[in-house]
Amino acid sequence: MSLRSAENTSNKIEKETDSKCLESPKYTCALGGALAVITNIDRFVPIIHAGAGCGTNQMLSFRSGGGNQGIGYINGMITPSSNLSEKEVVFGGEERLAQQIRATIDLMDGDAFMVANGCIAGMIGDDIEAVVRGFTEEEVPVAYVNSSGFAGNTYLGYEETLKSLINQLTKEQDIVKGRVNVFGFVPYQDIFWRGNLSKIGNILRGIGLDVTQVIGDFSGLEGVRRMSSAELTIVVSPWVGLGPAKLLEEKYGIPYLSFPNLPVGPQDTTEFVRLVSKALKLPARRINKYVQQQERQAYYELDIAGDVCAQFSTSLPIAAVADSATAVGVVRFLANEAGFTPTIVVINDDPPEEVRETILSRLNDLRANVKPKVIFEVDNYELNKHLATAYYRVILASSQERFAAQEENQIHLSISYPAFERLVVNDTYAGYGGGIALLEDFMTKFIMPY
Amino acid sequence: MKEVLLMAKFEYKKVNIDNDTSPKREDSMGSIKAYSGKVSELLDKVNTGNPLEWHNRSFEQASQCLLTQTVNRILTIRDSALIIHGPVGCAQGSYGYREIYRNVPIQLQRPNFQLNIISSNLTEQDIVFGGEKKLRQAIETSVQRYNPKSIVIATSCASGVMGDDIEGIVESMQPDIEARLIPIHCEGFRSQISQSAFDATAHAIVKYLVKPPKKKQKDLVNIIAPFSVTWADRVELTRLFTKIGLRPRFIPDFASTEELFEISEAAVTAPTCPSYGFYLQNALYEKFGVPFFREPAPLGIEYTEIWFRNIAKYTGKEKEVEQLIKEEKAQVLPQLEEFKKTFKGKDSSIFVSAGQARAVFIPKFAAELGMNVAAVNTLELDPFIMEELQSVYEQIGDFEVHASDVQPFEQSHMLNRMKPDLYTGCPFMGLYKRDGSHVRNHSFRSDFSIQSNQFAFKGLLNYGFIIQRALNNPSLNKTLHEKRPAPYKKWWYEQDDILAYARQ
Repeated sequence: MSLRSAENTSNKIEKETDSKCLESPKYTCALGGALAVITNIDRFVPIIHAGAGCGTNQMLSFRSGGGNQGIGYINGMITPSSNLSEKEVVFGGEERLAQQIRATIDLMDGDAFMVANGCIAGMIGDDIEAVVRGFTEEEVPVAYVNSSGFAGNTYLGYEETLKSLINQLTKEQDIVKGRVNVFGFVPYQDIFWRGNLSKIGNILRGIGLDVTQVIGDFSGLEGVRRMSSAELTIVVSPWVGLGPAKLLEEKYGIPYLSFPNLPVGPQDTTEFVRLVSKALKLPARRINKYVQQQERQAYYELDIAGDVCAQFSTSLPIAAVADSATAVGVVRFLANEAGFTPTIVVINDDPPEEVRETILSRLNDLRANVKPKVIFEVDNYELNKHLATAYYRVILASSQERFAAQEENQIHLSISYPAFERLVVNDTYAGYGGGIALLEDFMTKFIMPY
Repeated sequence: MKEVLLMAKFEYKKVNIDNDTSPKREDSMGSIKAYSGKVSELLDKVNTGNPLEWHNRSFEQASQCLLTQTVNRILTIRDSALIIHGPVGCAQGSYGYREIYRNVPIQLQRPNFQLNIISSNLTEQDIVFGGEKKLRQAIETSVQRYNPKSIVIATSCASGVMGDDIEGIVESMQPDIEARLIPIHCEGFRSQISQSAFDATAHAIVKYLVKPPKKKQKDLVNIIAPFSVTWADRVELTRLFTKIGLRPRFIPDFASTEELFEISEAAVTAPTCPSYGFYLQNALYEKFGVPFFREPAPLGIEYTEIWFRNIAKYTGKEKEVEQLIKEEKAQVLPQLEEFKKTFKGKDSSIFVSAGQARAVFIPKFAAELGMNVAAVNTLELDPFIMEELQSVYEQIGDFEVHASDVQPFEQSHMLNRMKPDLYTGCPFMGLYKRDGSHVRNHSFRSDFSIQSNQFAFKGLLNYGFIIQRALNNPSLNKTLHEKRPAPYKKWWYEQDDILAYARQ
């Protein structure tokens, strides 16, 4: 059989993890990542072009792990899907896809439609672009993304989908001063994506900017089209979202900046604000005033939690297992401003080699005199081996680590995928108040009368 | 009796254990995934010798495949490792099951063991060169890491399209490996009836794992128990079996590898869901002579009595079983009568969307409570459920039947037309967003309170309370129905044909 030479995967770098089998890797496939984006653009209707079970795996299982975020509008088992069978494997799935797109446009109430394909379509070589081209006369746009499961993980699916949206639905337009795109938050993969986006958006609006986040708000197709009118793209991650950010630069000359971690608590949030302000040359007085106000409130709140932290958690050893942006963000706050001792940090989003130095540097310049052991590990078995030899009292990780923690009577809080035991809608640890929110969530699990 | 007539029409194909896997149910049973109509018409049709007609849909929604339906739950086999031979996305479905299990309280007899899942992580390179290298690596890694007694290999669409020689790998590696290798063919595209995976799983377990009996164990009863038999159900059934001096062995989920070795020695294999268990029962009977009975499931008083009396026949426990029935009924019946008297849902209606065992039991129980059964929705129709529907029809009269392979848009059409007071089915389909109430369903699998037991005598009462409470408060459903948009265009509800997309 022929492997489809898709432009968006042909120059993919073979990664070390590609050559290994993995115990419970903490991400899903590209299709899951693509659907995570499409289903969270308001009134976008996804069309899965894959086997029948990809629906259950990506729309149900993956999302249960992603903070149990339910179906909302068009999502879950409602999602249109071509459910490829033996016949299509033999004769091709293009006819079935055309039929499915036609019916979906007729039946489902949406402003735009987007096909995301799975492994079968990618392997048998369905020409999805050609099928979609047959629908250019429709009143509603029909886009597509090549998201074969074997092509990569959630993060690839996220980036490829944003790139497809940029390539297929945006055009050159006037840049609007003060308008910014925000990338880097992958729905479900980042269980706090919604709250994170909303908090980062509020901060940026607070310094006078106009924010395009595309997913998780009501901007819909309009929001997608707005991407090409931004003055700057802000990537809140050392690597996730750089792909579409670079594409916007290439295509429309929109510069981008990357803030290497989730800004948790006042110190990093101020650093984030100042970095953005510098890039956009925002008036210093306005920014200083904003920072001053926010920091006053944030440190007032930390002061309230200060007594109980001093009593219970001074220098307490902590472990973190999460994607690079989240892990680095929470560890920096806890070490730099709340007095904890990070002992081990496991980064499990498989960041590209070239950004690992950046990630390490953010954990090596902690204000406190502590240097956590930093591990890049995707495989759950290896990850647990590292944790078993580390000492910690609090572990901020995925729900999979809670059993080992419980057996040792250690405190566990799910902050990363999968979080099967947590319902997350608006929760976030980002921003000036994010550190306090984090303290509230895990301190609650072990403080007692004293 | 009409039931016998139906039985006579369907010839069960013999299990051919030498084949790599079981046939798909479209072929072996004539299962269909699209139907809508009155049960009386359906039964007339089948009883006059007409086969069920297959329809494809030109519009479909997300569904299940052979892997997601069954095989990723097989990780609960103790001392085993599960290899999901596909890209990482295929392994997602197994993570949640692992956590459900780990949450079972230890005081509820959770055996202490690890659940091991490996994704062979097929990537672009493997798609070009074939996935066999990665599968070998996954098997070796499983052995090194977990030292398991068995290794289940679940195939995927990707491995199937590539044509990886799974049997060849098993044959070449098995001699050097102590753990039993159990390949299950659950390529997602192989069958459009995802229940085909029940058979594929059973086929592999009997072919590769179960050993010939050394002796017969007269007190050992195999109980077919998929995951929908909740932990509280297991605890309750175990209590009842202990009272009559028998040992229940729930298979295959949660059984240990060594327990599965010897299920050929059991006195009988008892069902909980005919659709799930028949192939396993049949294969154990044909290969090792373990007798079985196919129905009923131990749901509700009447069925539970029949179920235990059937077991008594094969174990010689007639006296003990009669005593058990007497004792349990003496405890439950007065409470049930009391409940019926105070039940406020008389004359309300229920729409049942469930797997085969519950799709039959819930309507009967609802009718007993004085409720109207609006419709029964199942994933598929096959000869098993025909027989069951016949008996429900004889007991409670006519109702609508809908087979939809999930497909919320069709269920939504029906709910909109019938406006039942209660809907029991899976969430994640948006179907609770309407004026009526929703009865929670699958969450009992991860609810380890004793009140989540629905099987056997006491389970009936628990289910009654669940219905009662659901009827009392539909506020979430109503609120979301009123305040949030519906995904389907209006025309869908304005035309009458629920199968409009299944006519082509």
